[in-house]
Amino acid sequence: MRVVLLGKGGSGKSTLAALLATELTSRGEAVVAIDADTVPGLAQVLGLEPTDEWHLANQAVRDNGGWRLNGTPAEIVDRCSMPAAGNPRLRFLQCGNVDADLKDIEFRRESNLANWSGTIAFNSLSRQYDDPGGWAIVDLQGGTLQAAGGLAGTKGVALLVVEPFAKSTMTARRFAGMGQWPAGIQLAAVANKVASADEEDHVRAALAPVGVPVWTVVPTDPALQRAERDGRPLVTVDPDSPARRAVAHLADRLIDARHPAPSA
Amino acid sequence: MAKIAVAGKGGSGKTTVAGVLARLLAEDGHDVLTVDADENPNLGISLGLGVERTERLLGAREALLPDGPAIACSMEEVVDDFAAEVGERLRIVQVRKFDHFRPG
Repeated sequence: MRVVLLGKGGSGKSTLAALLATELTSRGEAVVAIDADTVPGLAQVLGLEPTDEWHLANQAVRDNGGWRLNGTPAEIVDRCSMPAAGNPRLRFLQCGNVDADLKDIEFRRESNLANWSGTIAFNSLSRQYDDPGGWAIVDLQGGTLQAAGGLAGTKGVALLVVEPFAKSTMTARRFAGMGQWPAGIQLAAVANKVASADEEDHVRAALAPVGVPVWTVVPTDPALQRAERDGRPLVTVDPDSPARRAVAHLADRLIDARHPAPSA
Repeated sequence: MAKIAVAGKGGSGKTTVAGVLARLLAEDGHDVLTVDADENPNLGISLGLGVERTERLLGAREALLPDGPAIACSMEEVVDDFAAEVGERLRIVQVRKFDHFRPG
C-alpha cells in the first residue's frame, strides 16, 4: 500500500510520515519510509542520522538516449534503503540534498553524474514504488511541484496535510484542482495542528467544495512540539499524547482503505 | 534600489515576514515591488489580497518562455505587464505556479 503525503511547506508532512511509520510498525507492519524532499528532513524525526547523501546514486542507467532504473523498484529499495536501528520493520530511503549541488553548475556534468542519475532514479522510483505486503510512505517536498510532475504516482492514498489557515487551505485546494487524479489514487485530507473546533471547521469548510474528505484531525500537541524543538525522534513522544492518538486513528483509516469492507 | 531576499525552511514564516516588511516599507513612502518566487505562491495572502485575487495572479515566467504569450522582453516590461497593484506604492509579481499535472 502506498501513502503519499502532500501539502504546503511546514504543514507537518514529515512529522506525520514519521508518526505514521512508527504507528504502523508498532502494529507489526513492514514500512519503507521515503523522503522525496530535496532538502531532506525525515531521517531526523525517524531517529536516523541525518545526512544529505543520495541513496540512489548510479541507480539510473543510460538507455537509448534516455534513462532507465537499474533493476525493479523493489530490487532497488532492497539494495539502497537503510535499516532503522531499533526498528527491524522500518527501512528508509531518501532522494538526497539536490539544492546543495544545484548551486554547483557542474551538477549535471560527468563529475556529478552519479548524483544526477540518482535524482532521476529517485523520481522514477517515487512514482512507482509500492509494497503490496507492507507500506510505502512517500514524503514529498512542500508545495505542488513534485505532485504536478507525477511523483504522487498512480495508486494508493494521497494525504493532503492541511493547517487551519488560508495559505495552507489554498494550497490544498490547488492540489485537489490540479486536474484529473489517477483513478487508483484516493485523495483525503488530514487537518493538522488544530487548536479548536473553529479551526477544524475552517479546514472542513475549505475542503468540502472540492470534495476532499477530512479523515483525521490532529490537534496541536505540546509533547510533540517539545520533541520537535529538541530534535528528538518522534518515537519518544508519549503514545497517549493527543497527536499520536490521532495518528493511530489515521492508521485505522488507512488499513481500512487497504482492505475495503465488503459492501453489504 | 535595495533588494531583499527572504529564505528559510518551509513553514518558517518567509512569506509572512516578506508581506509585512513590504507593507511597512510602502507605508513609509518607499516604492515596493514584491516578487513571489515560490512555485506554490501565496505571498498575495500575506499582503492582504485575499485568496481569489491571489489565485488570479499570472506567472511572469511565462513571458520568458519561447512558447509563452510574449517573447522575451526587458525585465521592466515583464514587471509592468505582470505586476498587480496591491496598494499605493506596493505591487506584486508572481514568477510561476504549478497547479496542473504536467507531462514528464
